[in-house]
Amino acid sequence: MMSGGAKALTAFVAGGDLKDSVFRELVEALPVAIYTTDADGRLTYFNAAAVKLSGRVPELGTDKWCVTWKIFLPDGTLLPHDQCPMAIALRGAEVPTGIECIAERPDGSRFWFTPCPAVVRNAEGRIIGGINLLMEITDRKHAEIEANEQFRAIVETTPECVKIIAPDGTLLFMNSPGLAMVGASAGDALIGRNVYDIIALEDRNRFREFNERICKGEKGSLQFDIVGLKGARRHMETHAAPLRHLDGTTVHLAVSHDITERKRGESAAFLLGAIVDSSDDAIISKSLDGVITTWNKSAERLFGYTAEEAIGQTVAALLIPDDRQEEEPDILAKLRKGERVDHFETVRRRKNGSLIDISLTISPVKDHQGRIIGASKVARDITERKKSEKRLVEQAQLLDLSSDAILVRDGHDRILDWNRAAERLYGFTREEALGKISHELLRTEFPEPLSAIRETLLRDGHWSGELIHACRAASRINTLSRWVVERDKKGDVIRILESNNDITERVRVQEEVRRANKDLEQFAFSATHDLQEPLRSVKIYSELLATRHGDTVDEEARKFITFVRNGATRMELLIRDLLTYTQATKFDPGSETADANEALNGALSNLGGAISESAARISADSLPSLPVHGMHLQQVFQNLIGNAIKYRSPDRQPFVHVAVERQDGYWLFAVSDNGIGIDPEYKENIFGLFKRLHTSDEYSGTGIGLAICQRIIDRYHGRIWVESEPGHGSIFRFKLPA
Amino acid sequence: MKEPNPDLENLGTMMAAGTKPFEILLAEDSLGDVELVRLALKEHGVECMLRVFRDGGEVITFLRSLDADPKGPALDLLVVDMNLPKSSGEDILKCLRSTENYAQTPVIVMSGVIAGATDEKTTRHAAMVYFQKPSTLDGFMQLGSIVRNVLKKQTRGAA
Repeated sequence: MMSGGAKALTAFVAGGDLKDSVFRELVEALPVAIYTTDADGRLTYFNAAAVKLSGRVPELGTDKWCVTWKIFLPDGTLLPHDQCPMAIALRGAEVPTGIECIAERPDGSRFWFTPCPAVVRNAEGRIIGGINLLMEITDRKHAEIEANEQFRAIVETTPECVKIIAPDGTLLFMNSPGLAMVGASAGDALIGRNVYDIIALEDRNRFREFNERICKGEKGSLQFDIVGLKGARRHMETHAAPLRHLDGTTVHLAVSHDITERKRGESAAFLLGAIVDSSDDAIISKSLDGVITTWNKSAERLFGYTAEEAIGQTVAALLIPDDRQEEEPDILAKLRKGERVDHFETVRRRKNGSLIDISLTISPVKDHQGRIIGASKVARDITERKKSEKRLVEQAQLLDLSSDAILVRDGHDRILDWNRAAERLYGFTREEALGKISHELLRTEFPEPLSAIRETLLRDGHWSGELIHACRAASRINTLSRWVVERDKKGDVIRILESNNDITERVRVQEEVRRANKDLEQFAFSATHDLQEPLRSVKIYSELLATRHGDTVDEEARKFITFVRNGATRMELLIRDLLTYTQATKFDPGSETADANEALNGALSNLGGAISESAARISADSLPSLPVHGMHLQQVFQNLIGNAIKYRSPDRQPFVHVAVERQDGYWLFAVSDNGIGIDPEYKENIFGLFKRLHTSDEYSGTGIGLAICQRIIDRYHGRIWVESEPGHGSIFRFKLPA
Repeated sequence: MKEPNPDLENLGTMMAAGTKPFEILLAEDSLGDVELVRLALKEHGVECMLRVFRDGGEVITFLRSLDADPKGPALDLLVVDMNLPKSSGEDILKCLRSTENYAQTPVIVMSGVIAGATDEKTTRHAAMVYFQKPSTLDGFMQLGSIVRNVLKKQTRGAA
């Protein structure tokens, strides 16, 4: 358009009669600054608009190239007049159209303009002059700059990432919030680099396709992850539109939003929801007027209403029993004041009408402005706890009647309850004892480390043993202590019940008995020993009487002498067996291990005479070794096998078998024979001291043998008994710890 | 009661030749056992002077005075019960071993039926023979045979 006008003017200049031309009026009146020059650039003409625009009256024939005073490029650098577009054109060079320049007037004001220089050539084509139009574009330029500034301000102040991407992924522009999002600092020069590099690997292809689609003219949105220059991963949501670029290509303009926090919030909210739903406690929220707004799974389980049934109902109508209706207004009043209700134990009603003991914790819920908008409510089923508390109180009441001191302790051994017997036994009142650590208060001496006791207690649920406690009066007492642990459904320790029985007297008596027993053993040993001596005299002298003086006395005297001798012999046996009997407790159990085979052989060797005389056949299993004293085991075998031979049936060859089998923690021995057997009526009696079933005329014996067996086996906490079929034989069984 | 024993003949011959009877000291508090010892010696034909003491203190006093007297009688054998009033058989053995002239005198130590602990004490003192009093007549009479054997060795040793 401009060039069209310029051509007309060129013709007009070439016409040479500008001064008189009809055009002169027109050119003068034109609101566009116009001037002409000769081939050297000297001004030959300018119109009024040129004076107005340039703010000066140029000097014709002197000023060269341009009517303006000073010319600047848009970037502010000074453009010398001989290099202005007109000068370039006059030198015969092509001048691009649309150049924008700034000129300064002598008064310092500036304006924007676009020059439209054209040269005038003669018929030979030589440049004979030029004409230039200066179009002022200041207003447009200002508007443009303003728009640009606004755009920049908007782009830079938005918190979103604004970016322009070329079809090949080159980043053409990105605002500073965007640069901050990707972790770029000023020096990173991200613009010009390929944006694909900061897209997370798994999203890169998707993003490339998206970019190419946008650059083909589509609009769209996309969520993707970026990995920033500093390695931070962010989740972005972008809204993109095609943009026609200056160079005519279509590029991708996008506004992207960092939704990392939102995503995180979403997953946190999801997690929170899952926690609420998986909680054992009923978690409910309600508005300030008591209307239920949320209702978790446990609330469904606990109260029997589904979330659909509960939400929208009031707590008062749905859950609170009639006689407790006054609780809800109080709770709501507290909540409105922003107060919390902590572990409030009360009763609520289920859908089926049954009542449950619950513990309530209710907290006000505030919106983001801090206004109380409702309440969250955690209800815990404490039915079991209440029951056990009640049971415990009943137990404690019952046990108040007993003479046992009862302590109830928590998991940390703090005393929770202390009955009357405990007050009497230890001298501390209930008030003094409550809250104290029981072992510290009573300065307990344990038979094994407390940690070991605790281990047993937690494993078995109970423990018992003897403790030594200190009373208020500082005296020490022995107690038989029984501990029982009480757990909730989850298996956590709720409390420990400790029952202590004063056994101080018993321990003292036991000690006395032990000492007395030892004395008695010593006495029995000495006595049996000393008794032997006079008995020996009686025996030998009655024998002397019989052998040397039997002829000189009558029949009756000889019979009497026989009685004396028999009596003495029997007494000798009795004393010997009694001595064995007292020796049965001589060795401590557990201090030795005996091979039962050896013990049996020892017994058989001692019984050698009786065995060969009776032609008895003795057999045995392969026997074990066990923790008893070999001498004891030998005595048991000797007595049992000796009896089997002694009480043999006259009709058959005696047969004795020793069998053994393992049973739990014991060895179960059986000595069976085919002898005369024992009437079941006497099977308990026979183990008593001096108990005999036959006269000494029928079967010799002291009645001590089985008592010795019993005493030895008792010593090892074993057991001995007999099974028998009279006339067929007996089986003596005994078991000893393995 | 016993088979004739050749040693008995020898002893008899020895005695017939005017040899002094053996001097035997018996320390025993039980009169019944003193009598049984006599019977046993007699049973086995042991001709001897039997000095009987019924308490340990007397025995020790006697042994000391004997040792102090250079012309004191010979002592061929001590038969001592371990369990005596005042001083025990053990004390007597100690005393005997400490004498100048009688330290080598043979000893027969007797004890009750159940001896147990005394065994050790007597062996420590190396008594020549240990005799546990039996509770049968036959058994007790064996003491005579033991005494005769001890004396025979003594005679041979002297000869």
